[in-house]
Amino acid sequence: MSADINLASTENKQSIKIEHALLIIRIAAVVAAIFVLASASIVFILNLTNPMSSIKNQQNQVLQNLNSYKNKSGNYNLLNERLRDISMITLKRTDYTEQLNKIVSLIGSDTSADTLTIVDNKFTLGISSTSLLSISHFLDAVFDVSDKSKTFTNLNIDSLTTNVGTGNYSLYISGQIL
Amino acid sequence: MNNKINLDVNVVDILYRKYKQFLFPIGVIIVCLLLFILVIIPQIQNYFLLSDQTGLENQKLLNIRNNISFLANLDDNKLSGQAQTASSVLPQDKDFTGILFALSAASAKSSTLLGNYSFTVGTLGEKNIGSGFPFVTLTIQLNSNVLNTIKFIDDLYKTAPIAEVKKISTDNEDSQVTINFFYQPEALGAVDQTVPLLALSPKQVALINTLSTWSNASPENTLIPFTSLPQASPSANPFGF
Repeated sequence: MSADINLASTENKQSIKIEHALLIIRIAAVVAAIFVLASASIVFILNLTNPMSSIKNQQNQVLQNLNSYKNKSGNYNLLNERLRDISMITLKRTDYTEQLNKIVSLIGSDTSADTLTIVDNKFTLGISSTSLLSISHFLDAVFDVSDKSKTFTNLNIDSLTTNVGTGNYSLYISGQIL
Repeated sequence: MNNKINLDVNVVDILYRKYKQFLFPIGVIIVCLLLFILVIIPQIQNYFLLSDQTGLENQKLLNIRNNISFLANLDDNKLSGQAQTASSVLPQDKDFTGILFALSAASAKSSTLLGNYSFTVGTLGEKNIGSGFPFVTLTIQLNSNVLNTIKFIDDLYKTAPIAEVKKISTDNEDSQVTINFFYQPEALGAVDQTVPLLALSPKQVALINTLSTWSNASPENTLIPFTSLPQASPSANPFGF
């Protein structure tokens, strides 16, 4: 028996199968053509009816209307921008006034603040008084505030001197403003 | 077993005659498939892309309409005043007149006497590393004690233009203060008008209300202009206060 494949067989059954396959392929081709035609038409119509150009026209019209509020719009944007920047500056800038007012409020009536130096958050304060007790009270108060409110750190007594001629006591303290 | 396929010219000819009816419908299917893959699918993708863009453009249109309505309801005078106040506090360039007014106002309020002063103008592109804003540095001499110097700084911090005190050195009645006065040039480039304009937040309203109480920040808080000051005032204050 020959095992060669003979595609040109003339069997009736095979002929019917081929006719059947041809019919299916023809139907498939027609369906495919209709599907492609229909989907192409739908996509074309959808793209054609897209309201983009109409929206763009409307945008141009309302932008022209907006131009009549040009000054207001400019002022409003300027205000917003300035407020944003001012907020940033006020947040970041060093403000010693609160801490200084706090330390100065501790100075008694018979004590005077003679010198003050602040550079890069480091301060040096010199006070003088004829009463050593007043200076002591000031020191107690400063250390107390420093402990409680964490306003200052690294507080240090630099010097305590007496002027025999005037009877004045001078105190110099330094520290870091937080 | 011999599995060879004989495919010589005669066989091909027989096959062609037998199956030639299949060629056209198969060709149609292949062309349809190619059209679908190469044309229709990209067109569908394009449609969805266009739909998204249309949605965005529609939103922009709505934003512009809302912006018009928002701007129409704004009080023009109030807005101009607020913008002027904010611009006085943070000027767009080196506002030397404003700085001198600020010093005058602060010294008048704190009862200190201004002595010599010197500007360190710097370059236009100069930036403060800390805050990121350009500034003009000014060193001033004050004839004031510690308490009045602190009062001066306190008042200066409530005076336009916005400033930052960098150094203080006071010895009895002589003080030297180094101050940075900030400014910020207006951002270049057109403003996107399709971005929705939002009403000022409560924080911003509170800030503008605070700023309007600052000296020199608004017309009602501005001190007497220099031009109206006596020309040869014997006052120790160089600004006539």
